[in-house]
Amino acid sequence: MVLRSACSLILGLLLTVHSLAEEPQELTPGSWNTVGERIPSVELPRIDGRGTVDLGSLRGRKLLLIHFASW
Amino acid sequence: MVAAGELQVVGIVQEQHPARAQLFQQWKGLDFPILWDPFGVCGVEAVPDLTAVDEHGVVRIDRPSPKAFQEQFVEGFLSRSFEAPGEMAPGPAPFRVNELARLGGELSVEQRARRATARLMLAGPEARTIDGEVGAFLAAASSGQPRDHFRAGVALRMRFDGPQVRGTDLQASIDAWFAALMGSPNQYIWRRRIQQWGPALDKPYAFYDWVADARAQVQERGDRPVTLRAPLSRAERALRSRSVPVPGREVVAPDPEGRVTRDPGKLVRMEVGVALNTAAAGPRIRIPRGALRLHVVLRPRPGASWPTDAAPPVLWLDPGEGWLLSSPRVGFESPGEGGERRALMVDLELSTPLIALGPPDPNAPPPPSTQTLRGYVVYSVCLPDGTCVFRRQELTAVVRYPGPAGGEPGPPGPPGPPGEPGEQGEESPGGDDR
Repeated sequence: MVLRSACSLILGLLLTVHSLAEEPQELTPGSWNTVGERIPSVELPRIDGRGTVDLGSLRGRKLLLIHFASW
Repeated sequence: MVAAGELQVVGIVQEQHPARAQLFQQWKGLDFPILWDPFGVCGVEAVPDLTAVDEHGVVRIDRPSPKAFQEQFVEGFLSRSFEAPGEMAPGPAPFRVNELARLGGELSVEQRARRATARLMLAGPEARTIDGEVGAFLAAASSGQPRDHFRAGVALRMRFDGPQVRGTDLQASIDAWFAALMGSPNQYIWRRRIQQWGPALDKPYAFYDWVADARAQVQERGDRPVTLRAPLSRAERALRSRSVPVPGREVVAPDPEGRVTRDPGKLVRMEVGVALNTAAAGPRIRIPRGALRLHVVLRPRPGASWPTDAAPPVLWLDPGEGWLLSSPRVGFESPGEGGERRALMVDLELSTPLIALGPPDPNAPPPPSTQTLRGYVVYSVCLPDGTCVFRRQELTAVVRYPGPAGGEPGPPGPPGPPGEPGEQGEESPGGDDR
């Protein structure tokens, strides 16, 4: 029982540390346009409300990424 | 190459209202997915920006030159294969809206702001429940970081467009964006957000003047245009101008002697917002400080409504000496059938006279940090028992210039503390029906 509690505690701490390590850092302008760097894994919603797209999951094909505005 | 599955195209827009980009997509027949990043998660400072990414997720070209398009983009990117990169330094941690929206437990101020970002992006621009998220952004903005001010402004504008709107949201959103721009004047996405509702004299181009053409052409094709739930203001449709407003013919004030019975805001709530020329975000702005756009919103209080058979409200502005405007009298649009409870909006451009070029006079007295514009609005409004009355409400708009005169810039005032008291509980003629 004690062993199980201790294991749960350690597991909880490990998960906490893992989640802190994975806390998203602010993306900077250079995140997107530094030649030779990987693009960040960013999941954003579609403007038509049809779910989200994770840019980090779009590997395997070349990608043309267009930041624009309708104005 | 897209059809052959060798290339994928993805667009990202930073606009406040995604439906406008969606209408643009429909109008132009853009068949690639377009993503929404209103809070600037991607950190982009200006658009358009085009990035070519290889099959391994590595950036190969940023902003290909139109002059070297064939050589750089077609031959140097599309027509060749890239080898998988070796070990790379870890990049920024993932930002996934679905994960962040579910963050729980004890969260820091920054974590709450991230969760609010994700939740509002998933909820859309007119989120029904937004007070908690706005509070998270305002708490983060108290740190004074420009990015946090910008995000607070986006959330405040979302609340303005939604059912939980408070009377201060319109001005608070503009103030938050101004505070952000003061701290990061080269962030053009943030600057455009102010200019969207700002004076024509400050616009780099018209923002949404294409909407009417788009709707008409989509309808001609037999399609139904995407609905824009957040109405377009005049400022957003206005063309860029390099001339100060020219006073037109003399017009008659709707209540010159002040005889119309006053509504102290119990029947209709008036919201006022002033969008300054973004040049005012610089430390060297001179006196007088140029053009601004005044926005006025009228919302019937719970139980009150607009009559559909009466003339729409009229705004009369008496800004005093030193201001130019094409007309002091501006009519609101008609609420229309079914619009008895909707907010009516109008905006107009004011400008100080043109100033001579040259260095500021060091002996000149310091400019005022605020100026007050006065006027009034007259309107017909119906009470809960069906009686309709004609009322006048006084308008006071305080123009706050950022930063001490001639000194270092400072933000134009905090957008308000977290959990600021709302106005839903205010006295109303027919009880709270929200």
